[in-house]
Amino acid sequence: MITQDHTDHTAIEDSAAKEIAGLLDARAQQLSMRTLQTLEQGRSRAVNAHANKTASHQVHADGSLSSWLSWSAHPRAMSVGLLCAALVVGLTLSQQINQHHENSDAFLLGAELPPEAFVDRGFEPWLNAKLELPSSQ
Amino acid sequence: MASSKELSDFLRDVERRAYKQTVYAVRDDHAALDIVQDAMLKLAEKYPDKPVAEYPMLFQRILQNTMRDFWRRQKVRNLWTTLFSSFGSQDGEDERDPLETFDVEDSSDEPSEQLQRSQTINMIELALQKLPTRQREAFVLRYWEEMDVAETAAIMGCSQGSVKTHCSRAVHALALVLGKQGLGNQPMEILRGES
Repeated sequence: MITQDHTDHTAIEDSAAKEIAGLLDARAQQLSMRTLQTLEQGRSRAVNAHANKTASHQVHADGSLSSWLSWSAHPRAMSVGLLCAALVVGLTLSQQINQHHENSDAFLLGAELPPEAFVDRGFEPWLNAKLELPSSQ
Repeated sequence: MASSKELSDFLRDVERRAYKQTVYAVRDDHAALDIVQDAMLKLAEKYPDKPVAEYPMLFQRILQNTMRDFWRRQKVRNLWTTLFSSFGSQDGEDERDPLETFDVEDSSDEPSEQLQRSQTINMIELALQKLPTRQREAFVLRYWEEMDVAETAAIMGCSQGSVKTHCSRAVHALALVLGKQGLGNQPMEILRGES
């Protein structure tokens, strides 16, 4: 019963709305000549733009270099491409830094001197002095 | 992919309604013309590879977004014009263009019938302009552009339930306004009785 009422109500609303829309449609057919001319100009411009775009799509479809360059016309694709490039560069750099750290650690662990010796600033002059002493004698 | 002829036919079919719809929203004939032309160009430039069946929804979405852009710009412009309004000149009215007042002939013959019909449409147009933006959008898309509830919801970016509510409120409001003027027929009288 409630569903029936709801359906009737919707039908009444639809009927009233369509009547109003019909009247609005009638008014839309009574535009001034100036307005119609301007709309026609706009339409012509749009159709020309569409024809140009369609033509350029067909040229690019042959796989020429210009089809690659046409990506510059797609800002979203360009943004995604730049983001990917930045990610790849970042990953490569971080890997290189990690590798450098690993090499340093291996050098420190494999050296005959204790790691503290490399931190001590006076160690190297002391070592040089030690090495020079026997040669000067 | 739609051909240029299909695009041209589609635009010829929708341009008048789109223009009137925009006038109701922005209440400025010149701005409405600019907005509709902008929307046409955007559709042609950004979606040349879409099939013609998708054009109604795309065009309406572009039109709504272009109107929103206009309102945003208008808000900024109003801020500056109110600041400098005292420097503006008040003299001289807009020149009247005879082409502006030349309407295409109405199909009905009786002058009294034409007048009554014209008055009714004027009332509807005024009432439509006074509706809240979302209600007007929903009404125009659903009943004037004859889109279904799902399409209207997709264009407006809201749920289907919201579209139904906006439409119902819009129809009741319009029926009420017409009733106050003693206009409208049986379905509208029923709706007025409910309101």
